[in-house]
Amino acid sequence: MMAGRKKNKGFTLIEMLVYLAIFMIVATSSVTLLLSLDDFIDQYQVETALYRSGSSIMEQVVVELRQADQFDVANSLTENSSTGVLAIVNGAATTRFTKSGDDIVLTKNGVNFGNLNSESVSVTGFTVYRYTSAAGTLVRVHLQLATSVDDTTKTVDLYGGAIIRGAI
Amino acid sequence: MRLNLQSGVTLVEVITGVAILSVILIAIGFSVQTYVEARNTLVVNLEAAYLAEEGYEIIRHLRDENWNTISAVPINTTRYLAVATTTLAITTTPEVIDTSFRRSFKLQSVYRNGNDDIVVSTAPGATLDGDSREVELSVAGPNGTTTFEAILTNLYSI
Repeated sequence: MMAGRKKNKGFTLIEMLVYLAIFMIVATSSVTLLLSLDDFIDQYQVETALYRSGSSIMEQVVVELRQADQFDVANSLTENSSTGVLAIVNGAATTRFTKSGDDIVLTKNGVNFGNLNSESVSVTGFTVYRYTSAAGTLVRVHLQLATSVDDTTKTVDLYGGAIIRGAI
Repeated sequence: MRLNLQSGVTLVEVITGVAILSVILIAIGFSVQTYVEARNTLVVNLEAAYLAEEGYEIIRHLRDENWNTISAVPINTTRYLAVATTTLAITTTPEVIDTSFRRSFKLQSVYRNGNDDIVVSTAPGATLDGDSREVELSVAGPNGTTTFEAILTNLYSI
């Protein structure tokens, strides 16, 4: 019995201090790690949101331009980043991309197909440029997007374009 | 005897446990960081891909306007695009887009064989096609270079 009691003597002060020091280091680094993970998740969400909205808007614009046979000069608003309108005609059908507030709205034959950007992404600029030649019209689009999650903010500038060949 | 069994954890055991735990935590942290950083190239790559596509469309447009604009560019020489609000041109001044992308292109000769198929210049029966060029377009960005190759032909001003 006495021998057992002697063995069970617990930690010395030095052992406790060493243990506490190690615990502090591990606790501090764990909390820092968790905080940076949170920051990484914000970056991830920002990046994903910009990628999704950016690629879906640009892809829709380029596909519609390739299918179109005429640039609708009267209904488009070129060289204006804040209220830009891209209006194109494909046979009897009309397609319009309109920057309305912080969104890009797609309308076909006057029917509103809604916003092309997701709710968390705001469109800060949509500029349409037009260059004509005898063989067609080149349309360039400069799309500016911004989004933020907590205090992580990111903006992106996308440039794309396609040639409208015209009815042959 | 019961007291004997309750001997607790020694300091060495505590240190070992804590060390293993921190190694695991650090490994998880680094893998998450690597994943997020890899993922963060998505948007930059998207920008570069659209810039390359737009660059090719601009060169095609210049071809549409006047084939001489294309044929005047020396073979295998780096040239740049001058993109303005209403005009487009080929220039020798480097093009920098939003301070982080540099777009340039080279034109190469196109050779064809007796069946009008595109062949290398050293192929038997290869003749130079003066009305075609191969466009090698590249967009250098923060995550490396995106390249784009296409054939351009004098379609409109024969």
